[in-house]
Amino acid sequence: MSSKASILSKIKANKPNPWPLPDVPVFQTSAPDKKKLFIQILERGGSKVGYVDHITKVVDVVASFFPDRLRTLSTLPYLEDTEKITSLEPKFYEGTDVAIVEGVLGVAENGAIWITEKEMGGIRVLPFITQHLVMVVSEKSLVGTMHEAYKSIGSPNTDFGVFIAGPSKTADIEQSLVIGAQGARSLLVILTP
Amino acid sequence: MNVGLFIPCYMDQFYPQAAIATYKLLLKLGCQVEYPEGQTCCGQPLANAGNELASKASYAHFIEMFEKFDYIVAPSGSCVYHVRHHFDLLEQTESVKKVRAITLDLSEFLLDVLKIKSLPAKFPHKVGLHQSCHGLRGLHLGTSSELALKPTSKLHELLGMVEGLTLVELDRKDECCGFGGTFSIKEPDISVKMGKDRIRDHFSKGAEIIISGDMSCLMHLEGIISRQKIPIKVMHIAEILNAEEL
Amino acid sequence: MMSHAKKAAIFNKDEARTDWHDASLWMVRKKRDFAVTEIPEWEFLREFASDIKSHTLSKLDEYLESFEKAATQNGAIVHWATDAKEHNDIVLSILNKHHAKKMVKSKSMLTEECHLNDFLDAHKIEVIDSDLGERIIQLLDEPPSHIVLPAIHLKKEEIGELFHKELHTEKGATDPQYLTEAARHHLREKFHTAQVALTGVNFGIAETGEVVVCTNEGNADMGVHLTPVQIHSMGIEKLIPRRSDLAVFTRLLARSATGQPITVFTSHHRKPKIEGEMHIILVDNGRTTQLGKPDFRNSLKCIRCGACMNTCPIYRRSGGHSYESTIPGPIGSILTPGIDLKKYGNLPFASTLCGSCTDVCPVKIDIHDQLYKWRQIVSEAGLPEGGNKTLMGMLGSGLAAPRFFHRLGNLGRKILRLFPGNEKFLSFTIWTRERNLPKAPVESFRDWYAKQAKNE
Repeated sequence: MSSKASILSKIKANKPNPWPLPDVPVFQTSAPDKKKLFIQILERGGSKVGYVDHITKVVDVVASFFPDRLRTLSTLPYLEDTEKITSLEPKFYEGTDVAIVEGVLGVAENGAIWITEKEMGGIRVLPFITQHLVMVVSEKSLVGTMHEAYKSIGSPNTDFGVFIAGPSKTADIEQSLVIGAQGARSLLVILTP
Repeated sequence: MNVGLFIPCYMDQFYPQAAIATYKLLLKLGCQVEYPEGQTCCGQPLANAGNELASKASYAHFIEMFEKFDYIVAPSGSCVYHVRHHFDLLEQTESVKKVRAITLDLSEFLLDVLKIKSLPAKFPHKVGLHQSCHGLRGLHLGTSSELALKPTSKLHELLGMVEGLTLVELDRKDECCGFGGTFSIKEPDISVKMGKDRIRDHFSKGAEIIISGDMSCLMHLEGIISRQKIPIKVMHIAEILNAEEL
Repeated sequence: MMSHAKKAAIFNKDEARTDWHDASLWMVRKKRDFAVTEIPEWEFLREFASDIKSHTLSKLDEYLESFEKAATQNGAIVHWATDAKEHNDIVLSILNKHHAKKMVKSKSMLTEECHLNDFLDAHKIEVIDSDLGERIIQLLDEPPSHIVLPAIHLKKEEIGELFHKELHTEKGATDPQYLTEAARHHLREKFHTAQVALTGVNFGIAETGEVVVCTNEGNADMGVHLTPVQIHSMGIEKLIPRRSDLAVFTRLLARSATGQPITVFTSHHRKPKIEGEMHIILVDNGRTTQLGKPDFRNSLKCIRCGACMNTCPIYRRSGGHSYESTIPGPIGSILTPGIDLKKYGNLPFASTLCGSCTDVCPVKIDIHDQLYKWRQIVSEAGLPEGGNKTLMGMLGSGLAAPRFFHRLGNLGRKILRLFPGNEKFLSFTIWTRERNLPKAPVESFRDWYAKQAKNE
């Protein structure tokens, strides 16, 4: 018998009686102001938050936050003066100082931002390998909870998708929080109207 | 109302004053109280040590002793929890079901059955309350700190009726004392360490007395207190609720 | 193997360090307490999570097949492993197929359970654990002492010393920021040179065939996206039916684990990367046996948040290594006896049955009740932890015989009364080594009550 068949037959013999799958309601946040909560939670998790009234001004905000940047890469077509995706080799992007990508949706209750391979320009490692990550998020995209987030995202075939809720961090040494573990050292979220 | 008083075996022998306080308090509140003299033990010590089967006879004996009462009241969340939660080993006859349903901790009886709103009790002391785990998490005499629910506590409610009493605020309001029955002997080092940590929490907040609804936790804590000569006392909550003189 | 009690006694010899360990974990528990107050429906979520898992377990075979089908359609290669050996062999065969000699691995309790590192070591494959805590203990050649905080038992001085030796940091340097930075550089090099990346799996989605991995450091993603071949090792109980169920579990997991509202990265791996290969290994290794035990199958609901460890007063004061099992603490004490009763039979006794683990558990596993039930099984099996059966049987009969019982009690009290000021009396017993016995009163309650009755 194959391992698959043996595992499945053992489950059939041992599994408990049927149990209904609950219908989970789409819980919403009780916070009156989603944007305020989103910003508050992001900042609590060590992220920085910037604002622009028009998306073309993103580069100015990035410049003010990272004056010493050398290599700035962006997957946003409207951002000029930034390097674009030119290679499909992930290792090529080591040495990126700042990567600017668009977030699909922001979740107020935990500051998580959903982004898929598409917004990464096909380079899955980009939000991780860059030293600093900038995510441009539309205020209109904000939802309250993870229930609303998954409802909004649905289950399209996104190849790879990730919720990012802050800079890479660790507390593995004596529970001391250190920002900048293996991934991006900082996360700047730029809110657009 | 015909109340059967169940006194845990070690309380009978070592802490009669707490048992007497329970008895007198119930009389004071107008109950007809009887202590069936043939009673022994709820069987918990053996069962928690993994020998449930050996304690089955004592379960049956417990049922026999107490089935005639309207309520069975014990000054111990732990023993009551055992009867209510672990007597599954017996065939669930009508009398077994009845006894399990009417076996109550003193605080449950006072608040849920007698529904008392006040007590003629005075106790002008600063005290710390030790929540026994079986009472708190087993019988749900209150909301444990792990749960995201509105905090409630039967013992706090009762202590609120005592004139002059001040409760200290603890750092860890419901951490286990480390007694755990058989655990106190099987893992003496951690058991004692847990006890020391609980005592320190109470003592550092200025409590003169540690009170609890379970004398077994207090027996363990008192053992450490008296060995280390820490100036703090232990008392069962029944003794406080029954205290009238200054 | 030493019992938990013996190991715990050794741990407790350094009381200051025990206090430090206890305080570190209590802080995590307090963060968790705060985090759960932010979700008004927390207790409902726990109930939903528990029900979703109950449902999944009741149809696990069907869901595994749906998962395999969807994953295969996504382009992943699905493997089935009945035990640790088969899992390890599959990993090795994938490595061999690609002539890979170096693999980065992100935190996976399953591969710890399978002792994958030792196995690959023996086959001359270099394995690099890429989570900082995991890397630290790997360099020390120790197992993790906690499932979420693997190096929680170590002091920064010890880590500084280790990094000085292994990563050539400055001697005496202990600043966590500095040490983490050194590890970052060290690991970046490894990510670039490894040929294969392996991760554990937090959730497998039957509906979509994707696997979800939650980390804070981003190490799993660095490995997976930089190497051409990705492997995800997944216990079969990690399955949940729908993508929307992730809402429930992502809300519960990080808040329970560390008090964060969500892990920094919640990665949904669905398709292999272009020209890449994606393998998913479904592992049984005793899980189907546990599924067949009605009293204990709920333990399979565990989402490995570690909250029961952080809250356990025994774990905090004895450390993860005292359990000598891959998964320590309360959840480990109900998972492991099913694997090897003789070896782990002492673990269900490493508890006061205080129930804090049950109340903190985000999927409502009745941990302390299962500990109680394992004790009965240990004792029935005649293992020493269960006590002497004949003696226990005699005691049991004694408990049901009022006259004998009362005489014995009176005798005990009277003996104690012979030794007033009993500080050192019986100091050879375990109880009295550090505790006094209660002061025995002149009369028992029973005596007092009898007198009352006579006087009436």
